[in-house]
Amino acid sequence: MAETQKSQAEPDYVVIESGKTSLQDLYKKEDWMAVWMGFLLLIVGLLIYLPRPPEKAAEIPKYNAVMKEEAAKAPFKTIEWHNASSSKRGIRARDQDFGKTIQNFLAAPSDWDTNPLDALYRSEETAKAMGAPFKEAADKAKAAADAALASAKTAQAAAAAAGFKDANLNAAAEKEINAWQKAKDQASKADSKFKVKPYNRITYLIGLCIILALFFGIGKAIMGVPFGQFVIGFPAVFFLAVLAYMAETQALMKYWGFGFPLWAIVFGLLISNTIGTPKWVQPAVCTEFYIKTGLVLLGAEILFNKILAIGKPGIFVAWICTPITLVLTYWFGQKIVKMPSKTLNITISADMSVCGVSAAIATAAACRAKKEELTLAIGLSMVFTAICMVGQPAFAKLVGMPEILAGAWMGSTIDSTGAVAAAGAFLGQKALYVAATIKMIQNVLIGVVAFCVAVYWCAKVDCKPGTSVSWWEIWYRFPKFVIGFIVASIVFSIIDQSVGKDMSTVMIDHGVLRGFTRIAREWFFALAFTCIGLETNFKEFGPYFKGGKPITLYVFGQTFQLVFTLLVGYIMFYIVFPEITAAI
Amino acid sequence: MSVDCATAENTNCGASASQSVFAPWLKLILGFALIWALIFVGGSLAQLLPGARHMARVIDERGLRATAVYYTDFDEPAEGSERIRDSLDYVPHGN
Repeated sequence: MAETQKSQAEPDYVVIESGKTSLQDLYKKEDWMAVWMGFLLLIVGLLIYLPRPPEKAAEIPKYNAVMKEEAAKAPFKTIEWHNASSSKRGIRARDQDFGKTIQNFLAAPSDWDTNPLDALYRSEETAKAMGAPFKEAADKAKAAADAALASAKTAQAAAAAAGFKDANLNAAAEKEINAWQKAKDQASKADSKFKVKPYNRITYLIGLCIILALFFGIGKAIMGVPFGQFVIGFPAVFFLAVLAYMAETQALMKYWGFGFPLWAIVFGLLISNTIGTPKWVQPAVCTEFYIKTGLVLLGAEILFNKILAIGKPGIFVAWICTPITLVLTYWFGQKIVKMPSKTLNITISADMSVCGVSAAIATAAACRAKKEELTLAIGLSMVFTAICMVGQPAFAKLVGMPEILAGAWMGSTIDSTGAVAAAGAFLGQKALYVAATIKMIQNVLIGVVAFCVAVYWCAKVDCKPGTSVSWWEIWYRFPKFVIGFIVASIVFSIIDQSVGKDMSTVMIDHGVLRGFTRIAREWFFALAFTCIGLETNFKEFGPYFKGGKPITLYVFGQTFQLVFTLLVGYIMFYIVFPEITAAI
Repeated sequence: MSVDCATAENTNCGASASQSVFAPWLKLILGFALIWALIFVGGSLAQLLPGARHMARVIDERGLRATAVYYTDFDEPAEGSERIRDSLDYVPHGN
């Protein structure tokens, strides 16, 4: 009780300076253990994929040469140009047999409609029955694509016969080629609906549960937690994480952007606030351990070369607007709204301005926000994402906004990455690709934000007002897993740069990351969010909603970002760099 | 709030104890039922919102993962950035 009174009397930002560190920290402290475990997985991923490039990778220079030659031949993208680009995109290290096996083993539950068991098992007969109604549509789409190709070839031949000097013939050929691209895309989607694949996830999930229990159990054992107790409790946490994935993949829910993080928290909360988290499960409830290990893996996905993906206008929209919005929203939260907690303020500001859940996780971990604060930020983000995902493309369509501007605007302002793509697709293919690419550039900003927040918190926030903190003290307080996160990002960015853009796409992006560590990272986050729910009492949320401050903060930040980004996007894409917009 | 049944004169004590044992489980079942209703009833009703049905069709047609939290969680950002990169690296300029 005395302790409670004391803690109430002291401001919560005061950290007593008692920095001590020892070599034992490297294997006894959770932060360091998360770093080693994350690095281990990244090294395994590199060892699996890097020595095994797909045979077709040797043909990349040939495809580039074709595109170069075709670009010099005609004033538009010819059929051969598109075919070369498409063939190059089809080369992926993870599409090899061993890559598919790894992905099958790590796969989350699949889509389902009314029967939840469909998420785990689909027989050969069911798969055939599901695909059968789409056969006619697939055949029709393929015939339409073939016909469009024939028309495109005729139009291109006519333009070529005139030496590509007749502007009308060139425009007609370009139009036919674009129509063929659209028809080809539709045929590909129709074909994937027809070719439904059977699966049995149950055995793989049991295997994955055992492997993850051993992986984290050994890590915990090294830190001094009894291995047996962890392994006994782990299947319960894993089961709830599987349930969360199943809620995400339900046919109606997948439209709303309510992903597994939200469901994992909901299922965890339901258990902890009704029957209570059983004692035998508690040793496996290790929120921070899972989150930090997942964040080290996420670091490898932060490839700094990606920020150049759409040229200078992309950097301005994603890397100038976003930090300005973040800082302004945080300032507004502190000075105007007077948020009760600085960590809640920065977590909401980051998740609203950067990229939703992933930014919230990284920022909350960097400033050591409370689990309720992270939960609240994620809940707000998901609700606003659902609204913006439908509202923004509808507005863009209503006012006749150009696809590239709309894509850039939505890519930078809708929180969740998946929702950005959905909103872009609502308007068209160009909007989809621009929106998704801008979001990707913005995603990379997480690394910088997490690092800056961690340093700022250690040096400024977690200390007595008016006092300065020594470098040693900053080091002592610094969340060490952030070092792993940053090192993973730097190392993978260097590898990404050194192997060249095309090979990096094939081997790193579509190999090590999407073929292994990304899937593992997502599982770790699912486990972490389940644990957040299992550790949280509903009543703990009450004080945060007082006065509706988090909502006011979110609405202010989002409104500012919507207006500011639209303005900057227009200036960059249509006034300063119109040639880039034209080339896209 | 626990009741000492050994000293209680109330004959319903056994019944209330069993009620308190079952109450959390009932709440849990009720909670799952609410989630079930949210998914199926709420999800269906949400389709009635303007634009929502069109959005659902777009997501279905393209097989998009609208719930993805990072760019590596689905294919569209990679496909989009690769297309844009080729468009910017090999800009058609012939004639």
